[in-house]
Amino acid sequence: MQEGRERRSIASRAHRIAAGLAFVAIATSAASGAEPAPGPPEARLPCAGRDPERRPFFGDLHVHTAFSQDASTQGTRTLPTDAYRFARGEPLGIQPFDADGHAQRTVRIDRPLDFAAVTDHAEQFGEVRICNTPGLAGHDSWVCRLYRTWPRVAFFWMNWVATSSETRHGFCGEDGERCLASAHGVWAEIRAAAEGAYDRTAACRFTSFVGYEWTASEGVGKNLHRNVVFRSAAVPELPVSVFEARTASALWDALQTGCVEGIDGCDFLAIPHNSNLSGELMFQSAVEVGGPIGPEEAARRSRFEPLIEVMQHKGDSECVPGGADELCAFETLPYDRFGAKFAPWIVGVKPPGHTTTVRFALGEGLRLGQRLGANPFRFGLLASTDTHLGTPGLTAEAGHPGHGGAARGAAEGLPQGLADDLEMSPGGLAVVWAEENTRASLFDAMRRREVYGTSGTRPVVRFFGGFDYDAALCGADAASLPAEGYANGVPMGGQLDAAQGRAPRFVVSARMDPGTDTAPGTPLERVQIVKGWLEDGQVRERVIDVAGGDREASVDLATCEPHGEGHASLCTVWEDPDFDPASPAFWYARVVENPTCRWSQYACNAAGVDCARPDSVPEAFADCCSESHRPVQRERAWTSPIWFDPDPPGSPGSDALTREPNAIDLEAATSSAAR
Amino acid sequence: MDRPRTTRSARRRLPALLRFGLLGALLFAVFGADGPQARRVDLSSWSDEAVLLEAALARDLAARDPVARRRLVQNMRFAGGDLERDEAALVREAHELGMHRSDPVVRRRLVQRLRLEAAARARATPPSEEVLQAYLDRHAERFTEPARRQLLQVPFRDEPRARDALARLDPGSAEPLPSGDPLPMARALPSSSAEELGRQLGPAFARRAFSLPETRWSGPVRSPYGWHLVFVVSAEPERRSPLATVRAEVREALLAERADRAVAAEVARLRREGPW
Repeated sequence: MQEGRERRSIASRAHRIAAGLAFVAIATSAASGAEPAPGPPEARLPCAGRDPERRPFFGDLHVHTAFSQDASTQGTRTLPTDAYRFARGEPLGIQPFDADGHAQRTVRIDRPLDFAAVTDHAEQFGEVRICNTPGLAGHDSWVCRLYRTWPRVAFFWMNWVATSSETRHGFCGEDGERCLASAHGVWAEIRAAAEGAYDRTAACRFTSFVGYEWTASEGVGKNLHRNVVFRSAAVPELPVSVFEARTASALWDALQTGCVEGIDGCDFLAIPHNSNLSGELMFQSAVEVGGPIGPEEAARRSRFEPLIEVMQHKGDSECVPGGADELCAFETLPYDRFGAKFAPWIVGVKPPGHTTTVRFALGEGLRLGQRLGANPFRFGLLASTDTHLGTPGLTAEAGHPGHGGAARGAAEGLPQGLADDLEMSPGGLAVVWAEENTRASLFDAMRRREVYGTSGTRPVVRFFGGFDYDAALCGADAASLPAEGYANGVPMGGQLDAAQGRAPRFVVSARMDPGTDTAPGTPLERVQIVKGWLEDGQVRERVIDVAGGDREASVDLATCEPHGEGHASLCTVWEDPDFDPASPAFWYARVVENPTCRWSQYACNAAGVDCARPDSVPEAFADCCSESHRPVQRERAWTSPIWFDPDPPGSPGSDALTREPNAIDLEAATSSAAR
Repeated sequence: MDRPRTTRSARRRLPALLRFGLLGALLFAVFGADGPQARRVDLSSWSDEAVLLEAALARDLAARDPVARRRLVQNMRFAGGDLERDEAALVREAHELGMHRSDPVVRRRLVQRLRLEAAARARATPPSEEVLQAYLDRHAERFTEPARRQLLQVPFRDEPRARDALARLDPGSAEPLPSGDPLPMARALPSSSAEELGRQLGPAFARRAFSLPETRWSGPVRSPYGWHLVFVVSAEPERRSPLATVRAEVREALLAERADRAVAAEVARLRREGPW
């Protein structure tokens, strides 16, 4: 019986892979033959500010514009070029728009981002274009009329078809031909926008990535979405969407063939997100739902998916409340699958469980790694917004206008009451430690997982692990920490190989967000290390405060003024007292800021809500006084883990396929410091 | 000129043909009753869109443009017109109902068509190297690499200690570095623009650091992390990028500007001369 199931699974996979490959062969028409097609040149000037010891670059890798079906049905008019201008610091008008097309709201980030990727949903590029363009065949189909007349109804219907059907809408023509033809134009505009925004001069002010979202789900809204980010302008003719690759495994295969092997200079990463909305499926097999994860999948998954989005607009996926880790009570959604938000009477509502979390995946990865010889869930951690307004990096809590998408829209007018659904948030940022702000440097850093995520603020966090660090590294010689960190260990995202009879030491340093003239940063409260390890085959975890601590800082809910002391910076060297050299383990740092008002509290205050006088609270602002309202939060950063593998590289069962270099050019670093 | 407005709910309530008829009558009252002379008088208060729309209609583009024409035909058939009648008749009937003015898709299409025509004419002639260079010279600030400074910084937790340390320093000598308080941050900062420095140490610190004299110790300069003594190792002024480096950006900016100017010129010409 088991054998039969495996045979069916293999047959099914082969079918899907073949379908994916067939599509990519068409999509990358120039890529036929054994030799990769030549990609566009990535010529650029070297950056004037290159730093061999690496700098933190702040960005957003999850951005939707009017090219996404859901955003377009909410009145979003931002195009990819607009989104990149916004990321570089320019103001942007957002919905609602008046009859003359003037935006009723204007938003702007107080500091430009260093990088961004527009990641529109690939599934309906052509469909949205056809429905919005008179004269195109299909424009007057009933689906497009529905789209234009009742956009929110169309949102559900079109997404249902996109995620549950093997074929496209009828108006797309035979084999989806019309929609694919239109998608070419959309994809060309996305690529052109990225090209136009990329600063190829020595100033290196901004980096754009060509990207898109692969939007798969199972059942009623169990989301298995991935963002695909390309290394350069060398990309396939069309993105590989769910219509061509129904599973993540098929997606990797199609992109491996059509991009990596098909086009010179093409490379990609797939970044899963919202495991909190996956109905516990995100960390199961990517080949077949419910099937086992085998050694081959484990190795491929680690290679193609080195990162995961730990937090965004639609909640935190790090961990769930209810255990010993009190700080897990942070931006937790009340449901564990997307479908429960819209059709709770069908799927039922239950909060996300442990198996939906990144913390679970990291532990499960240790267990599978020991059994399979490759850890499928060796995830580096980052965050992003998932904005559906085309507003990358719009993470300020005060004045948060909502991000649209699955939440509250403003197509027909400003929402009454809170600007967004109560459970949503402004989302987070991705931070990449790289030598310079170029596509190649940032992408390589993402590949080696030297990244961290924040819940929207910009603290600067370094995290190193090794066996030879001086316990006084944070003292008088703190300035040499980066050089020492790289010389005697590995940075976040790296792997420790040899215990040599000693316990590892971890160096974590954090500086508070310096803020701006008008919005000063918030001091730090504490630094924690989260450890996971295997003990008798079972995953264990522990959270340790290693620097700072609760100084009873608080925030005045009526004014959102912070009170109490915090730390401008924290640095410590921590040795793991319980290290077991025979057991695989991971450690990551969590840096927590002092309490501040959540976006919803700012909005409630602006509306003059006084929950002490319930009769005075306008109905539209009833959420302000509901039991589920969390007026205060602690912004935070999560570093990528550092792993320990007791099997040295190259030994049987080792994770060699997934290793990436993480050392820097020490000679260059030394000479830089001397300059 | 304000466009006639009807609410969505009102539109839903009215039968399509009646709606188009009423709109046509309203538009006729606005546009047609006073005659051409009166329209010319009011032209200065019209929006660009209204001017372009009138120009397009004067060229009979609502009937000749394939997209607009098709839309009008579809509207008529959707509204219950005689399906057997030929397209020309349906278009004429749509005009009589004022649909060529009231339908938002037709309006948008006609305005866009005139804009695109003007822009395409402007983009048709590729700019020469001399023109590109001249454009770069005129817009040097947009293609200028920012000033950069390479700094040494030594942090202190409080201002008095920073001042004491500064008093003991040889002001013109970078070496040896004074010992400050532990801050996990490199003492030698790589070459940075003011914006880059501001993101590390705050905008106030960056502004001050870019005003300090070169090759001598200064400060203390306040940041969110404390007080810093600063030694400006080197300072590079703003630098204009050569054309070879930014040719593609300059060309696109020039053509986009030409296109915008051409559209504006076309609107101005239409306001001045008027096709009607």
